[in-house]
This record gives sequence, C-alpha cells and structure tokens, in this order.
Amino acid sequence: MPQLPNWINLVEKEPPEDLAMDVVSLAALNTGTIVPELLVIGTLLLVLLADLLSGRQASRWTPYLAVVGLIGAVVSLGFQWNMPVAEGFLGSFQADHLGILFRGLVALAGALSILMAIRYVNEAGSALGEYMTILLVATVGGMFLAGSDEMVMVFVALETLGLASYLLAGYMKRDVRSNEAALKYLLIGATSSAIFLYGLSLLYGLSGGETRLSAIAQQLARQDISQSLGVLMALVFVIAGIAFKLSAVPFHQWTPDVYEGSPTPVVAFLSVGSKAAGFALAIRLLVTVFPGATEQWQFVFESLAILSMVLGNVVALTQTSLKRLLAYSSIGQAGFLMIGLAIGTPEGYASILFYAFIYLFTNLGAFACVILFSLRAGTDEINEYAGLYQKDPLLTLGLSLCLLSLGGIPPLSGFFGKLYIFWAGWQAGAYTLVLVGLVTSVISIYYYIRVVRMIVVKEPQEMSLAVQNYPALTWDMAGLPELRATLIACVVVTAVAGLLANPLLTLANNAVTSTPFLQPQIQVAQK
Amino acid sequence: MEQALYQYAWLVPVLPLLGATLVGTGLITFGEWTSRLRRGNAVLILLLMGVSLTLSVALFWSQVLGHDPYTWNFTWAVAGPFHLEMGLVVDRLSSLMLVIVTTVALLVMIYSDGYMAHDRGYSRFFAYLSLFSASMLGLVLSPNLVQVYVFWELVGMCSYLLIGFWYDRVAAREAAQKAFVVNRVGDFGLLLGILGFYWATGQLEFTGIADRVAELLAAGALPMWVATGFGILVFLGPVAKSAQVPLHVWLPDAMEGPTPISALIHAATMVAAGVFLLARMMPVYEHLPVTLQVVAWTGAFTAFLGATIALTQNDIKKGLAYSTISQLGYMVMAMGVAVPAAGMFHLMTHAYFKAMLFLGSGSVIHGMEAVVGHDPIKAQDMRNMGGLRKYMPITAATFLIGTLAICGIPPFAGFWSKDEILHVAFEANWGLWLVGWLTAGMTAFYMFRMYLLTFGGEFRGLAFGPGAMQVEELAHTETHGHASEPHESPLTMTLPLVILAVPSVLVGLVGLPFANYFEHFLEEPGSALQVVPELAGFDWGEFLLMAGSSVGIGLIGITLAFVSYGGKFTGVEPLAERFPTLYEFSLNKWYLDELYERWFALPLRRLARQALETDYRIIDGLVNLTGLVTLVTGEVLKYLNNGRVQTYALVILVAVLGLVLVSGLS
Repeated sequence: MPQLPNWINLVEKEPPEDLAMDVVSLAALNTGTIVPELLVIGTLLLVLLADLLSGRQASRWTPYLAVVGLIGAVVSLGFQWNMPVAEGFLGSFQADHLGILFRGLVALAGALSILMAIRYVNEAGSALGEYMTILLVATVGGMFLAGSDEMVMVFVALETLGLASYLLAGYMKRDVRSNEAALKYLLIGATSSAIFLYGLSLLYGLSGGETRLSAIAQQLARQDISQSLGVLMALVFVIAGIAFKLSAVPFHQWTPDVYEGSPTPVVAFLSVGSKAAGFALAIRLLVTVFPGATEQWQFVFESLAILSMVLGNVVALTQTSLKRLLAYSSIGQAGFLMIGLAIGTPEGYASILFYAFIYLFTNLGAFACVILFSLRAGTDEINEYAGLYQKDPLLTLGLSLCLLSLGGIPPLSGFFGKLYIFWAGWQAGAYTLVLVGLVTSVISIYYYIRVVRMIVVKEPQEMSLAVQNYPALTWDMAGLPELRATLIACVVVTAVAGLLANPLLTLANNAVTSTPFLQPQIQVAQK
Repeated sequence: MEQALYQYAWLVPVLPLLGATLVGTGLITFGEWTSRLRRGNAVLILLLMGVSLTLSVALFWSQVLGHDPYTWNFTWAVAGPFHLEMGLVVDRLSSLMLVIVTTVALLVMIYSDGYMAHDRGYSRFFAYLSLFSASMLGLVLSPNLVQVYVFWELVGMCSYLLIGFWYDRVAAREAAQKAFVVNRVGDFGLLLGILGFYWATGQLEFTGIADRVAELLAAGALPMWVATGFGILVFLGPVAKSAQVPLHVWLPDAMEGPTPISALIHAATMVAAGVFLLARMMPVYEHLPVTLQVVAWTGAFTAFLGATIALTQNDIKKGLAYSTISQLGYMVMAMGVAVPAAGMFHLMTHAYFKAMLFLGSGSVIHGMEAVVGHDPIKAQDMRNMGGLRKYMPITAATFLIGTLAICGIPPFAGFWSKDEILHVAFEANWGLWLVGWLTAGMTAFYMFRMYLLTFGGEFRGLAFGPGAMQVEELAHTETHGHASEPHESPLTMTLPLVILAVPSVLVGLVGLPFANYFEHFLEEPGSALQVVPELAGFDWGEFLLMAGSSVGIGLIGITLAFVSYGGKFTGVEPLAERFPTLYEFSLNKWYLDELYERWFALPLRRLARQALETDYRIIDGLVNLTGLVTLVTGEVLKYLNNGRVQTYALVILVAVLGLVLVSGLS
C-alpha cells in the first residue's frame, strides 16, 4: 500500500493526545510562509462581510480595502524575501525567492485589475463586492499555485484559480457572450484539469505513492524509470494542464472566445495574473519532478513556444476586435516567455521573471485603455478607434505606448524584455527559437502599429462614428479616477522600466540563483 | 601676459563659430527678422572675425619672438585602453596658418558685403563664411589626426554648402555634389590611413606616430611597404582637398559658387589644407621615401596639367581655378621633396595673391553683370571683356600685380616662393625641376593671356559675342543689360583688393634666399618642421642661374602672350589655329571629365541601377511575398477557431496524444 504523506496521516490519526503536541505540530506547519495569502484571505472575508452588511453602500470603500490588502500582501512578500527560505506545511508550500516574485506579480495583477474594474462593473450594473471577492479568490489561488510544492496542494490551488476564473468570465450574467465565454472556459478547463489530474495520478502511482514533488523525483530516479513511457505520459499530461493555463498553442483555442466574451477587467487579470501563476507552476513542477526527462520537456516546450509564437502572431493580423487581437497577442507573448522555459538556463528563468513583470504593466495598461474606450465609445472594434487622437489624447498616448511596447519598439520596456529573453536564448544555443521569435516579433509589430496608425494617422473626415460621437472628457464619475491612475501608472512603468532595467534584472537573477530547487540547473549551467 | 594669451587661444576658432551659431540660429528660428538685419549680421561676424585676427596676430608674434609651442588637451572619449584627446596646438606652423586664414577671411568678408549686397541670401552667406572660418581655424589648431579629420569633414561640408549657395542653379547644385563626392573618395583614403597608422602605432598625434613608425621600421616590426601604403592613403586626403591629379576635377566646377568663396575656400585656405596636412605629417613621411616620391611626382604632374588646361580657358574663374590647381601642384611637389618650409612659403604667398586675383575677377564679373546681365556664362567669359582697365582702374592695377606675382617676376612675392620650390626640386631631382620650369613658362603665358583679354584692348561686350570656337554658345544671344559699359566696383570690394596687393608685393621678402627668415622661423627646433635638411650655404652663382632661368622662361611666356593677344582680339585664338588638336585637348581639360564619366560614373550608375532593380524586384518582392503569405496564413488559421467547444476539446486530446508520441519517439 502506498504510503500517505505525513500531514494526511496527521488528519487521519486519533485526536492529539495533549495540547502541547498540537502547538508543536502547528509550529511545525510553519504558518508564517503563507502570511501574504492569509492577508488576502482576510481581506476577501472583510470585503464579503462589508458587502453583506451594508450592501451597495460599502462598494464606495471596499475596493480600497481590497487594494490595501493586496498591497499589504506584496509588502509582506517583501519581508519574506529577506527571511531565510522556509518550507510551510511540512513541505507542501515553498516560500522561496522565485515563488515570492511570482506571488508578488499575481497580487499586483489582482490589485490593478480591481482598480480598473470599478467603473466597468458599476456601468454594467453588477455588484462590485461579489466581483472583488471572486477576483481575490482567484488571486489567492494563483499565489498558492506559485508556491505549492505538493501535488494535492497544486491541484487545489489550480482549481481555486480556475473555478474563480470561470465565475469571473461569466460575471456579466445578462450578457449572452459572457455566459458563452464562461461555459466554454469551464468545459475546456475541466478537460484540461482532468488530463492534468490524470498525469498527477500517474506520477502518484509510478513514484509509489509520493505526493511531494521532490520525493516523486527521488522515487523516479531510484527506480530508474525517468525515461519510461509512463513518466513521459505523465509529463505530457501535466504539461497539457499547464499549457491550458498559459494558453499555449494548441491548447489555446478557448482564449479568443473567452477574452472576447468576458468582462474586460477579467480578461486583463487572466492574461497576466493567471499566466504568471502558470509559469511559476511550470518551472517548479517540471524542474523538480522531471530532472531525468529534461530534454523531453524542453523539447515539448520548444514546440509549444514555436507554435504559439507563429500562430498567435499570425492570426492576430486578421483580427478586427481589439480584445480578440490582444487575446492572440497574449498567445504570442506567452510563446516568447516559453523560450525562457524551453532553454532551461538560469538566465532563461530570470528573463521570464523580467519579461513577466514588464508584460504585466504593459498589457494591463493596454487593457485599461480598452476599458476606457469601451466605457466612452461602447465598442472594442479596431476600426472604431479611427481618428481618436483628436478627441482623447491621454488614451491615444497610453494605448500607443503600450502597444508599441508589446511590439518591442525601443526604448519602451517591451523591447528590453524581448532583448533579454532572446539574448538568453541565443546564449543557450536555441537559435531556431530565437530566430522564430525575431521573425514573429516583426510580424507582431505590424498588427500593433496598425492599431496605432488607426488612432493617430487618420484625417478628421475619416473619423469613425464612435469617435465622432465621443462624449466630453470627464473624470468625475465613480471609478474613473482610479482607472486613470491605473492607466497612467502602467504607462509610466511601460515607458521607463526598460531604461531602469538593471535593478529589476538583478532582482530576477538573485531570485533564480538563491532558489533551492533550481540549484541543480544552475550547476549544470555553470559547467 | 603671454601665458594669458595662450590660454585664450581657443577663442580663435570659437568666436567665428559663435557668430555662425548666432546668425544661423536666428535664421532658423526668426528667419525673416534676421534676414532683414543684413548689415547687422555682417557687422557682428566681422567684429568676431576681427577679434580672432587680432588674437592670431598676437599669437604669431609671440611665436616669432621665440615662445615655446603651446599644447592644450582634454580627454574626449575613453573606452577601455582607447583614449582619445582633443585640444589645440599653437606652434610656428599653426600660428602662421592662423594669420593667413584670418586675414584672408576678414578681407573676403569685407569684400562680400559689396559683392553679395543684392543677394537674398546675404545673411546666410555670412553665417556659412563664419562657419567655414571656424572649421578651418579648428583644423589648423588640431593636435592629432582624429581632430584633423573632424575639421577636415567640416570644411568639406562648408565648401559643399557654399558651392551650392545658389541652389536654384542646376550647375551649382551639380558642382556641389561633385565636390562632395570627389572629396569623399579622398577622405575615405585619409580615414583608412589614419586607422592604419593607429593600428600600427597606437598613436594619433603627429610626432607620436612619427616616433613609433621610426622605431617599428628600425625594428622591422612594420614592413616598409605597409607604412608606405598608409602614407599614400593619408596622402589621398590632400589629393582630393588640394585638387591634385586625379581628384582635381571638382575644383574648376566649384567656381559655380559665389566668387568670394572661390577666393577664400577654393584658392587661399581650404585647398591649402591638404598642403598643411602634408607639412604636419612630414615627420612621419621623412621615414617613407617611396611615399614622398609619389607625393612629389603627383605634385609635379598636377602643376603641369593645371597649367596646360589653363592655357585655353575662356571663363575667367575657370582659368584661375586651373591656375590654382597648378600652383597647389608646386606646393605638393615641395612637400614631396621633403622641404615643407618651401611649400608653406608658397602657400602663404599664393594665398594672398590668388585671393586677390579671385577677388579681382569677382570685381570684373560684378562690373560685367551691369552690362550683360546676371548670367554667369556671359559675365565670366573673357571674350566678352577687354579694355576694362579704362573702366576699372583699381581692379586692373591689383590684377596686374597679382599676375606679375604668379608669373614669378621679381620682386613680387610669387617669384621668391616659386624660385625656392624650383631650387629645392632641382636639388632633389632635375626631372621635377624641368616640369616645374616648363610650368612656370606656361603660367606666365596664360596669366598674361587672361590679363590682356580682360583688361587690354577695347571693350567688346556682347556685340562681339562668344562663340568663336563653339557654336552652341551662340544660343545666349538675348541682351538684357542694364548699362552699356562696365563700372568700377564699390569701396568695400576695392579696399580688400588694395590691402591684398601689399602682401602680394612684399611678403616674399621674408623668404629671400640669401636671408631666409621664413624658413629659419619654421625650422626652429621644437616646431613640427625641424626635420628639414640643412640647405647648403647660399651660392650667388647658383641662385642667379636658377632664378635667371625661371625668370627667363617667364618672360618668354609673357612675350608670347603679348604677341598673341596684345593686339585687337578678333575672337580667333592664335593657338587654336596653329595647334588645333592640342588646343582642343587643353580646352577639353585632357578629356578627363569624359574619361571619368565613362570609366567610373557610368559603370557605377549601372551597378547602382542593377542593385536598385535587385532590391526592387527580388528583395522587395520577397518582403511583400512574406507579408502576403503571413496574412493569408492568418486568414486560414483564423477558421481553425470555429467556436465549438467539442472541437476545442478534440484538438486538446489530439495534441496530447501527438506530444506523447513525438516526445516518446524522440
């Protein structure tokens, strides 16, 4: 009979004999590692309570409460950075530096998505409290996912994130397309989860009943079956589950439909927070569990990266809706990020972190602009943006800068993100990947600039109907100042982060070099 | 006091630059307002130039009194072991050049006030002039090759701007382009040479390179032929800038620019920059005898070629341009025989008398324009002139002084310097002397032909008309003159002529062969030219023989000119009747332009066209095809996303199975 993990044993055992034992075991759980997540959970309970007690009245201040909670989580992550690396819950949760940075990214994405959603949700007549609660749940799920080191924990975190995301996608209950998006997301998500779970169960069986990731790897190595077909199947199944989260081709097909139908702030969170958590999971799971099959998983990710870069960027060319365009663009961007994963060097992981940070602000900035435009003009069609520069300079500037940064035009930060990731790829000898990346970046510039051109170049008489009927610029409606602040913050970071890249890169490099589970990879790279 | 003087030496190039910047910025930002100031701009620029001149004279005098050379450097760029300095050096050579440049520039500026009085671009012209002066002064003060190169390009750019000053004239535009392109050829060689010397020696300063080259050659670490090659590459710069064969073709065309420019840039200063660089490089070249040979023979051949072409030119400015080419050939020849002092001496005398000649020709053109209208082809054709001595006495007198000076008639300045060159050439190689001697005869002939056609005889005007030799020139027959006779130019134009006449007569006296203060000054230890070999003691017999022969052939040339052109000019060239083939050969400038057109320009243009075709058809086609393929692929792939969840799930399953298969097999 396979041996159950210790903490399951604890639960199944008779009640503890005395209180002292209980305290000891609680201390052994090392609850301190999840303080940031606990903060978010506390916040979400408070938001829920406030919403229940005072209804809509509370929605005036609850967004700030939620944001303060998330910022608090980020700050406590900062404290955790300086503490010695600790295992929580008997090894189920790792508070290592790589995880800390990814958790920070997820929390930041959550905070920004709440700020830019206030006006949007109010406009749609939905309850803000519920929206924030679900978004906070998704954030907690993502944060746990970035740090979990045990299969059950991984799956629970994944489903927490996933289920909350499905709910968010369908949050506009009266909108048919939102319903469609939620249903599709749920069905495909369930399929992927099933495959992922199948993979986990294979691992559980092959390793003789281990659930901790490092223990599985040891068992696989001891039995010398790291290259067996069973392990390979488990590997592919696991990757399929992760690839769904990353929306890597060919597991991407839900992305455009869901992005188009879901509320835009949700899409913003999905495109950034959910993906960051996915990458954290991918790095931890693959590096820890499959060191014996490194070549195989790197090959699989190389294929996924190439497919994503090519398909994402090529199909984006033909899109007419800006949200759908950004959906395909996010598939392409995930392809660029996967280069870092496929080469498996410390520089690769560091450049993923750096790129993800920049992508967070750039993409959220772009979505903030899309939200603002759809609030004012009521559409997402690219053609309707024609001639916008004459009516809304801030929106024009913000959207242009964010799109150009996504396209990798220097000196915007997106250029430096691509630069480091391609450089890392070239150093690692992944010439095909880098060349495909370069070519598809050029393609991507075309569709990003097409939008910019539509906004900036058009003559006054070519102005679209939506822009002709553009409302006067007012910022005094509830939620709009927050949206503007988010937009400006994202654009500023997008504009300057590349030029001030050095501290960020140092941070990312330090995180990679000081993370315990990446040590074998670093040693390989040093040789 | 003296130290303070040297501390402000940097003002010499900076003041004209300041003037150019102020006026230039004004023209760019408040164009109309600044243009309307006219005289205001000119006065500002003249004032600044005057201060520069005063400073230069003070520096020069301090050098004459024996002050040590002054060097001031600052670090411009550091990259690892690479260390680049900029700065200035005031020694005897550069202080001399400062005085030459500033005096000529100031006089040309005064002259321009009259010459350009009615031009719309009056203020712009002064801004350009000032910018050019600043660049030239910076070049003169450069302590190393990189700074030389920077200012070299700057003077080249100013030359381009000024040749094309009347950019609405097609000929001016084309001439500017030609000058620029031809100079690029030489500049490229210069750059390669600088890089070559830097690669070999790690030095950029003149003496530094010279010492290292000497060491490396002695140690055998640097093959002689490589060093010679670098020397010739550097020489390519002066070949282009100082209009030596085969890159001389731009200078005659450059006469499309306003005449003051021809005087300042294309006669007195910029074209002399090549000679100046050769003098600066002399410590290096003295180790490279083959390079010196190349320099000497290039100079000799250029002198000869320029003179032969000048014999038959009908355009007064073109004639002077070929004469400049010929005289530059003399200077380069002097450099080639390693007596830079002689070359510099001729540079100085030539700067004054040639500037005067050009300004004189400008004065003539100015007077002619009153009769024949503002058409350069008519106003500059000597066959339309004649008898101008009566109408323009001051111009005629100064032009005669200049003519006598360039012909080498004692005691005018040109005699002493040209004789000095012929003397050192004879000591080095009698072949060089022979070429120079023959050239001196031709010089006397063509200069007096020019003088007699312009100022002698009766005024012909358009009544006589050009076209004696070439029928197509008759196309310009409409008359729109303003007056029936030419007039003397205003005071601002004649005053510089008179002032320039003084050095044209007297400046040669500082370099008398029996009391040569000039060479003594340049050869003083510590100066860049200390390498000049000690000339043998002065020998009256030898001097009289040499001077006698060169004056003799000069007189023969003058006599021939009087015989041919002294009487009434009938529009028929005596030379053309007697030697039609040679005449055509000279008139068509040895057919060099046609040759270059056929051998360089046409094939290059063909190559460029083919490259364009390739780019247009194949490369553009490929790019467009890629774009098309991408878009079409996008359109097709778009339909894979058909919106059905069943299909999506199926794709996932197939993908998983496929991945298992592929990764299992690989």
